[in-house]
Amino acid sequence: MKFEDLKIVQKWREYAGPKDERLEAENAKIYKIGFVLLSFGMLMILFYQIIARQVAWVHSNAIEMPHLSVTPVEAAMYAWLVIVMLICAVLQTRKGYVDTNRFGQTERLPVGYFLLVCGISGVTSALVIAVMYCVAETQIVPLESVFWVANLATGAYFGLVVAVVTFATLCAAYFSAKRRRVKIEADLDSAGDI
Amino acid sequence: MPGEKNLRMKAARAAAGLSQADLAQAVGVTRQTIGLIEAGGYNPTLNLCVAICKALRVTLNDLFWDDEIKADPNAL
Repeated sequence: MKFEDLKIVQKWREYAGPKDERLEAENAKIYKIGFVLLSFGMLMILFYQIIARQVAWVHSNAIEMPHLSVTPVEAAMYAWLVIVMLICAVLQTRKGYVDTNRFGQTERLPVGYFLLVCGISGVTSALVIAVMYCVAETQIVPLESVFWVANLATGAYFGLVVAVVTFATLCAAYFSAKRRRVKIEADLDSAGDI
Repeated sequence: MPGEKNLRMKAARAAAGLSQADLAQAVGVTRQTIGLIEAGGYNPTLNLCVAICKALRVTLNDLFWDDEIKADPNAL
């Protein structure tokens, strides 16, 4: 039985009235902005927390044993974020697309576009991580003790990792979406309504 | 507003003796949605276009089809 066929759902629909398509469209846009702000904001805060702990450990001459970078609660939050993002990616690919622009449903892998996205992601991540390290250090040591070059190098390394992982993820999503698209088209063709 | 005003819809609604609120109730949307369609601020789905046409007893062509070919200044 479908969800819409449930009597209680039908009663609710009668009571609440039809949905306004414009409000639904506006709502989707608002939730999209909310999702991006919430997820990336949480990532930034969690990253900063880990970085601040690492920096504090390094500047205490690393005499103590390094404690866990994340608590179980933070780890659960990280995991939940990753799960939510994965669910969104999987739902997109199940619909047969990876992006909403003209590269969303190309027959050949849009290498140039993906490289551009990865480059922007990598450079942005490198800068953000380097800045976070510098900001975290300036909170606990004088400016002359900040490891500027090391922070930049760390940012560059993580930026490279982010770029590579992003490219691999985009490629995997592309091939998965393409397979799904073929299946959707085959189902439509087999319906025999043409 | 991003789109063009739909004055034909406004005229058809007035001719049918319906207010924006009446039409909105008839097709199951809010009054603001009807106002925005008339003002060119919202591009409705085909389903809503059909519902509006049925409520106003007109055709899609009457309200949403534009026969005018806009002059392209870059065309030869």
